[in-house]
Amino acid sequence: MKLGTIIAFRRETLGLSEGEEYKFLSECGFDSVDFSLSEPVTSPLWKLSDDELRERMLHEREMITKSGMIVGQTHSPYDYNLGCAWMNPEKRKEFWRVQVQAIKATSYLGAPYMVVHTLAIPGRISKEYYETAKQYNMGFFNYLKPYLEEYNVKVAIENLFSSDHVLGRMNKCNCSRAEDLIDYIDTLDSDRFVACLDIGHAQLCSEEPVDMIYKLGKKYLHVLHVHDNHLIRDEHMFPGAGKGDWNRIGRALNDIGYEGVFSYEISNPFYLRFPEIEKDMLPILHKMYVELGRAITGVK
Amino acid sequence: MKITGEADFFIKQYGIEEGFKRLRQLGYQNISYCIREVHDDPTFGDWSEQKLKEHYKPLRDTLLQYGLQLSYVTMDRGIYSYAQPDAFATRKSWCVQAVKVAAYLGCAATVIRPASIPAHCPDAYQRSKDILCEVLASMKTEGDKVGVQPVIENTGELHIYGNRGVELLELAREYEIGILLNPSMAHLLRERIPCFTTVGYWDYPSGVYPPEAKETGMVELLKEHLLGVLLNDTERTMGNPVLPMMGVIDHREIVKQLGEYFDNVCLTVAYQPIYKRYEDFLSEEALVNTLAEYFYQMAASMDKKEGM
Repeated sequence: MKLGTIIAFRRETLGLSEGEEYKFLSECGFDSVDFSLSEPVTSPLWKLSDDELRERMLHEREMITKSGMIVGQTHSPYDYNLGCAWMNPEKRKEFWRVQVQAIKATSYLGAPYMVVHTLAIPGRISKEYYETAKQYNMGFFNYLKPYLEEYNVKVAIENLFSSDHVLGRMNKCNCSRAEDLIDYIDTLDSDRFVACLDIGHAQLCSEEPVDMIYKLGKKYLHVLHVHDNHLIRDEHMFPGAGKGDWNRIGRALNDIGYEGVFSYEISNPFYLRFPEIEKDMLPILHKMYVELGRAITGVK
Repeated sequence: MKITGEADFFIKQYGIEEGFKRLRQLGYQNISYCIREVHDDPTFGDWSEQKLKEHYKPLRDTLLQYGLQLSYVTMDRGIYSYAQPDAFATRKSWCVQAVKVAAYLGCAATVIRPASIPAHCPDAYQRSKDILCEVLASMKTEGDKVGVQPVIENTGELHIYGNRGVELLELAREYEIGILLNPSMAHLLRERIPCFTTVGYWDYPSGVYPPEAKETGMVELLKEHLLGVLLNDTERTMGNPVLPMMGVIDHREIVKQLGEYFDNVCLTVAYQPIYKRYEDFLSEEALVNTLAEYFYQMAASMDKKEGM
């Protein structure tokens, strides 16, 4: 199992020039990068022409390859203003266009998977809510299908959570359980769609990640977002810092024969909070992430 | 500023010789040692001076061999057992003996914790006070002879005497004790300790906090009497241990408040609770070493006063 991560620090903090952040991660022991394309719809990235986008992504790919790593996955832009794409047809059109650009970018980066959030619609969980949300999302994913074929990219649908203002805590949404992910993928009936299990999100929804791993199995589970929390907020902490049962999670992944990347999605605990020691601590912190990942997955 | 590593884990995993060697290789020059002999021999308090020296000579020699200094010695067992109140005299003798052990090992401090009594016991507070004062008086009598100071480490029990800042100050003045400040435990008691409690990271993600959010209190009150501060941390709601800097304790602010006293205080990397969390994976030596290195680096970064 390869070890991957997002880049949760500014390279300037470590005094690195362009591309050296990949070398830094590779020297710490990582094999893969989760490349973030989660720019807002208004970002200049999405105003680039196809040729400009391709050139930019090929440049990034070259730097990553030179460091000895791969791009294991990307993350498509998500709906920052939850539900606005649902409510506003113009915004919806633009948001869907940007998703297609993200597919192209993923392909140029040489990444096999693009992680996508299901689209949100306002409302609380009910049978009717699930049906309406599913219909909306099927329209969205079917729209992406031909582009996925053309650019040879797979979409990894990610399990999510919602903030329930009535209950006053995090709760499930339209696609939080393993059953939801399987239902979406089976309905789309295409090998272009797989599941991304976000372990931290599962915990927030009171879904046991180990159970989800076994239910999804090797057939559906191709991508991971690895992080931990205390079941209250989406803290994106490293394994062991929260409530996750990482011994069992590691065992479950090996049991199903998971072949993807054990990819961290951890936030930088020092950023803005302790800037004066961030530079000194980042190397040992990443080294620790690698050793922890190896211990959990049994990888030497 | 001394960075002190807890030696217990390494001794348990690797034995004294290998454990001390690894600690030294990781950069630690100072360690703390926990007396666990009371588990094997409850008559520990009655050991003769000769037996004591025979037993601890290998430890002392290994400390010298690897150039390690003991910042303090701690007691593994409580100073009082509610289930066995008749054993109080025995437990008190352990504490006095621990003072002698510290002296033999060339260490100037012995750490104990306040007496633990169940909260349902109606006179728990007064009883815990009486017990603690009696133990401290005995330790001080012995300590004055051999040059070892009794030290209290605060715990998180609300109904027990000796955990609050004002109580520790009172004890410091009466018995000339030192204090090993446990910020996570203080936080549990809602003591005024620098932390992100009243306004958490998520409330002010920019990292800029209004002045009233930064509370001072315990550190300011006790800094003249501090032997050390534990570099530990806890998350906001339940008190579970997390790595330093990843929870609510603002160690940077603690260091700032220590001011001129900072150089005299030993910063103990308290990794025992964290290692417990990872015990399923601790057969992986690389992880053990990396974690210890992380803690050391964290403590060393506290020594940088510029910009803090």
